[in-house]
Amino acid sequence: MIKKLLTDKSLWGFTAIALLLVGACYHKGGDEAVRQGLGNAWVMMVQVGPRLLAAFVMAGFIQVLLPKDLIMRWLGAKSGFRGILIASAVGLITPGGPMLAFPFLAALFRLGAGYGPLVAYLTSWEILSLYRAVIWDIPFMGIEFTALRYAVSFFLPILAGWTAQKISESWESAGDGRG
Amino acid sequence: MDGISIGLWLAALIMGGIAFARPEKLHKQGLKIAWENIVVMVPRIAMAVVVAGLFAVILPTELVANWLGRDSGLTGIVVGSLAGGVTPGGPMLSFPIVTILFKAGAGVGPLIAYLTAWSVFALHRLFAFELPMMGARFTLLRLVSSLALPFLAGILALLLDGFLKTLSF
Repeated sequence: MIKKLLTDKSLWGFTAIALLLVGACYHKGGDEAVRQGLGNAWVMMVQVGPRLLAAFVMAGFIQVLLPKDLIMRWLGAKSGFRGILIASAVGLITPGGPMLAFPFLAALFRLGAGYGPLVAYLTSWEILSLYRAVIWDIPFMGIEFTALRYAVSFFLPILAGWTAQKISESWESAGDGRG
Repeated sequence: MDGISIGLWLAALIMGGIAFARPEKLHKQGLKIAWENIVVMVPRIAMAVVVAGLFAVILPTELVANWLGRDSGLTGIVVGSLAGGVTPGGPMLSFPIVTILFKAGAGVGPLIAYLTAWSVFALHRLFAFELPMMGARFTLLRLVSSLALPFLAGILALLLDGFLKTLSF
């Protein structure tokens, strides 16, 4: 665990940026500005910390409860607008980071899913993933902001999927199908 | 502990109960996944929050208000989309930054445009996962199909937020 922390590039990247910002704050307002910045961080951590821990526990349970095989079979063969709708719904409930979503996407690709559903799935996972809402949107921005963001975004994966479908169809009618 | 924390803990408890009730006793596996995530993510998030806290001190508030403020209109949405598209790193950095911008007076339209652009165009994910696993053709097709999404989300958020405000006052 210690070794993992010591070799974590993200963590060290953030630490380097934090040190640079400490310098910038000191340059702007001396000790007082640095203390103010750390105070901001502390306030945010106290508010977000307990929410994040709960979210991670919840996310772990969701990940084991989800019927992955069933979803895969369901989506692999579908295409067209219905496929885009189903793919968007599946993106919404796909838990976890890119380590889970991309292998799943690649598997769907190999199973023969169309470009429309594939793009709809990825876009939906990126914008609408409920898992992401629980871990990031709600703890940091609160429920009201999150609800507004979902209200204006829910149709975007369908739009992106449908656009991708139309573009790929024009490729195929030009005799340039996927290999 | 505030209302959101309590709600999330309750939901976690219910999910845990369901996992426990399964014949396979999935709750242990779920807790294991949660623990593995917590160990990796909590130090990163803590450091990212420090970054955001310090950033808030040197952030020129007038600039945020001018370019991303509640009255920044379409300009704010374009600026938010561009900024989101070039923000590197995962959610542990972008969400603390959005929180700080929100406190500095940015409007919901530009912020939602920012988050959507960051979600759709996240460059680190594109190079680390999408290109190697899905190929250039798929990646390009997806980018072209998604180009308008941050602007659409931002403009709709601006309209909806304005509409909700007129309802409540």
